[in-house]
Amino acid sequence: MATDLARADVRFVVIGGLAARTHGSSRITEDLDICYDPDRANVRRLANVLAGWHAYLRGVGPGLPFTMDERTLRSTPVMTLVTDHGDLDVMDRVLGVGEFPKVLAASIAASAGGTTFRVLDLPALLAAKKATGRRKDLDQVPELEALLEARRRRRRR
Amino acid sequence: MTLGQFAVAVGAPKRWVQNAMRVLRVRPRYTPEGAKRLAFVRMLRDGLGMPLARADRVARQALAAWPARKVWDYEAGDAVALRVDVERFLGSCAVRLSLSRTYYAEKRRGRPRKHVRHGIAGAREYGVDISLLEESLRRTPEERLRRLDADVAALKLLRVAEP
Repeated sequence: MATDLARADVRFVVIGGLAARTHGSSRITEDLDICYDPDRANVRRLANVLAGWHAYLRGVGPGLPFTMDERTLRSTPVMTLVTDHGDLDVMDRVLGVGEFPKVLAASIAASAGGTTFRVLDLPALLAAKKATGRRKDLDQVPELEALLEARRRRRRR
Repeated sequence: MTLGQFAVAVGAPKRWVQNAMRVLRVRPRYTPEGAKRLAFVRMLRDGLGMPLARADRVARQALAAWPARKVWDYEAGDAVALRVDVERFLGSCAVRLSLSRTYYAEKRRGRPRKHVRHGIAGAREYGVDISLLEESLRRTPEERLRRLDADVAALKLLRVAEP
């Protein structure tokens, strides 16, 4: 999904479990969380990709009046979706980090499948996990802190 | 639904939800239908400054008329009229309802533990297998992502194999 979004010229930063995995986490994650640039043209591109993937709301029954388009994404910038390619969470800001420019500034480049995209860096990911205060995020903090320390140690060597 | 989930579905702070229910004399039952109605009330209250009781009456009428009437027209006198795209409104409601069920989680209560160790020692104490992290750090980020893809594919195969 991340590579397809990058190929569609959507500006986004990977956050959440996949970002943690990129930094060395041993947890398996099956969904993708992204923070996207709320610029009008970018939102349109993202909405088009999501509509092509038949994105629908996760956790609610079928048949609700939901249309995936630019207007929907602008009025409700945070969404948890199920798509043809898997589960996807999209948001235009990250708690503990800030809006997209700050998220982008706190990201690094990563590549997969021959495509390069941005991934939230480890300190920002840690700040985001702590800021939510949710149990499932806080449970990941010790592992991320260990990764941060291990990485510092490796750099010193 | 908890009060927190209900407030996410309404798109309002918990305190606003509680106060509005008290003013409207609504029994605090946290259901998706109740969230839709209160979200409609909040939209009229915040967007137009309509008093809560009147907004509640309009919300009941507009929601009862859907799906026969996708756009709700309300006339408040000779010169003032209100038009609500109920279909669009319900779409936004569905997004918030989805968030309340999938994204929202109650915050951890109580004071944080004192003298918590951080870093590798803290993670080990928490039960994290540090050897897995060390193994992972030996790989490049690209290799880690490739391995994740392989792990997820293996999990899917396992699920398919389940009776």
